[in-house]
Amino acid sequence: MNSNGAQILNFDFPEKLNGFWVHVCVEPEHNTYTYIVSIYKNNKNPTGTVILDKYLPYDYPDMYMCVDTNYQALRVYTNPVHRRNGYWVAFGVFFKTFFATQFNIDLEAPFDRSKWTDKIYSKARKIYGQSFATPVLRGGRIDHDEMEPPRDPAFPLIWFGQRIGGFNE
Amino acid sequence: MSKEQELLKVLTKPVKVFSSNVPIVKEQALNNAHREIKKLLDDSCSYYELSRSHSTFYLSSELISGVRTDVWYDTGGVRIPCFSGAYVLQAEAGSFMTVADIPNLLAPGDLYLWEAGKKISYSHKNTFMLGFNIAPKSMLKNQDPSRWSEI
Repeated sequence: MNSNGAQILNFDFPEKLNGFWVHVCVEPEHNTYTYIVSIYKNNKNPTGTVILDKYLPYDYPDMYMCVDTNYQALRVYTNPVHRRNGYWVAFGVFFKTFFATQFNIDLEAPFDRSKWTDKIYSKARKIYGQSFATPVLRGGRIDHDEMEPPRDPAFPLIWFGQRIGGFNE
Repeated sequence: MSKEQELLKVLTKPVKVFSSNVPIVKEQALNNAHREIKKLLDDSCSYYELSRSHSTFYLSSELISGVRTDVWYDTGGVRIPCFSGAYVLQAEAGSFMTVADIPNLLAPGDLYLWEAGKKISYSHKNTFMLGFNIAPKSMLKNQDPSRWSEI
């Protein structure tokens, strides 16, 4: 337990995810999302720490995943600094296992997913050994790239801390 | 007691103005900063025609120890009634912070408050500040109540 009374679990992370730790906001007051997963790469907690909490963290995460009521990872994000490192494939496999064992939930990719998410989903499924794939919504984000993701995607839940928005031109 | 009442009860209990992980400045300086932030908030509410008497605002802070100059920053809450700000602790001479394309020279003791959601960038890496956010109670769903205090 930490000072907030939050439960803390420790897992063996894949080596690729060295330095990362995870905060899961469980069943927040939200109409769309059942879990808000905030992922950090810093030394505020040891690698592999998973915190289950009723509060949303103050610090803006390096990566996040918003899981809806159908247990689909409806929205994911990566800090521009950490992109193109393949972290989501490793986290995809990890969270698939974690949510199955911790919450008895079959976490899946959303129907409406981008090309980028679809590629990660395929790689993660291959490693996880899952042949079934959530069908993709034709005419959705896979065919039409989203110009700019929402800045407060979990609104009215908000990460307030200062965060990197993008590289200067 | 409803959840909202419970939250309100917790949020309105007297707590330290800034979180305890910020031991750098003396308490008197923090008190002065808090007083000035309150004044700036009053002015901002007046400017944006927000009711200060009908809304209860809460303040939270974080220590910003060093920044990157190759990126721009953002804060939570995309517009009013959320506000963001900074209390400068240490800045090199001639360094500045750009908020929404407006450069502001930085010196220790400076205090800035702006509407949330503006692009922020810095000219020098060695810029140390207390960053803070201000939001009304309606925006504090699932926030850790120990991090916020009424202002």
